[in-house]
Amino acid sequence: MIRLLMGFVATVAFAIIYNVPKRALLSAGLVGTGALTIRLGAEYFEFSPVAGAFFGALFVSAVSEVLARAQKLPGTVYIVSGILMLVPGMSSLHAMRAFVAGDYWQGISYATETFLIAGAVAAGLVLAGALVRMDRRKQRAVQSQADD
Amino acid sequence: MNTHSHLLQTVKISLKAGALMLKNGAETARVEETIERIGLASGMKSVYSFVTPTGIIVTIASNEGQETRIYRMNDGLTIDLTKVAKINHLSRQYERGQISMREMEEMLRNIEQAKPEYPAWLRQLSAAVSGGGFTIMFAGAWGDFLPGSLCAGLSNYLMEVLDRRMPRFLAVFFAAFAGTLLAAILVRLGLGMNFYQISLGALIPLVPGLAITNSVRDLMANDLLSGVARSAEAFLTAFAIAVAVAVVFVLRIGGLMQ
Repeated sequence: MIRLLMGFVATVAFAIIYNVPKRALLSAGLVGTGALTIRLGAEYFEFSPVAGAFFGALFVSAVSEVLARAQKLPGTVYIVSGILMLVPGMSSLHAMRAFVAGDYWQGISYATETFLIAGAVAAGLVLAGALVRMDRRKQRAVQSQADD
Repeated sequence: MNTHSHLLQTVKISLKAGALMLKNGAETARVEETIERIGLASGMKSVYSFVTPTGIIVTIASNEGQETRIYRMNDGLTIDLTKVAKINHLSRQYERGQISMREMEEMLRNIEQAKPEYPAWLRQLSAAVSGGGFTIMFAGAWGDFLPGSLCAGLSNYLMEVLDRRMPRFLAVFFAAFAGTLLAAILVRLGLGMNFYQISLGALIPLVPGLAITNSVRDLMANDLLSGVARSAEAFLTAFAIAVAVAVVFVLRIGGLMQ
């Protein structure tokens, strides 16, 4: 519980660093908390952290697009701080420690985990975002051909 | 106002709106769309824009002729998503004819000169709080909240100060180095318990969250050039942080800090 609360506080703090509009602060914080819940849930039920990161990012992106339409703000506003909850911080720190200590095998295994998590976050963002945006891209393509 | 100066005015305003949005952290597709929207709403025949993280090219044609302008971005550090949202809203109002071009120019100038949504001290404070929050989030003990905030505040402050004097990646390196070093010192002095959690808190304000978000969104919108450029930015920043952490680890393992 305390971890979730801290996640909320940290997300709102990030939103302030990026100067997110005031009326989006609360929802941005909730997006971050949701992402953290998924991540910790994956940890708790012993799923792979990669899956946790993927579904967390999927959640962040999908909810952000919905909120962006509801509050008429750019979707970036919600994604930026929510995505930071999914940063593979611990595994990257452990990777650097292992590399510095000369334990390359362990370093590579931590680094692989880091890259997989980062890739999963990107994949989750792309998947949800691409689905929501399909209609808009079509319109733009048609419009630019109509010029000249 | 004759028509040619109307064309020039449109180019100037759409370029200004686009540049402001890009500087404050908008993604490429949104900037291009805004420029297009302003141009077409001003009754221009066709509008072409090419936006990258380092510059904007706009060509607008009307019945009288055409104009091309280039804007070279010199990026500031302060990202202000509120300004992006405001300009976005402004261009839509203009498109619906709710405000005139002169009014929009005036409002753009106001937005450009406006202070960020939150004062600098509040942003510093929230950087510190986010660092402390992260420390707890990664199962650190309550006693680690203050050291985590302290280190995060230090690295964020250094980042803002150093970024004016040196290349971005070097500034990130020094900020990350100072933050992690402070974490190591605090743990050594017995003021903090978990070194990893505290240094994670120290590093988190430096993580290039906006570059990651925007690179993904750009790649998704088929703006490959901007997407790759921004992911390179994110990767280099992460690399700078990693090297700084490695240096501190070397110091720790070398016995200076043990």
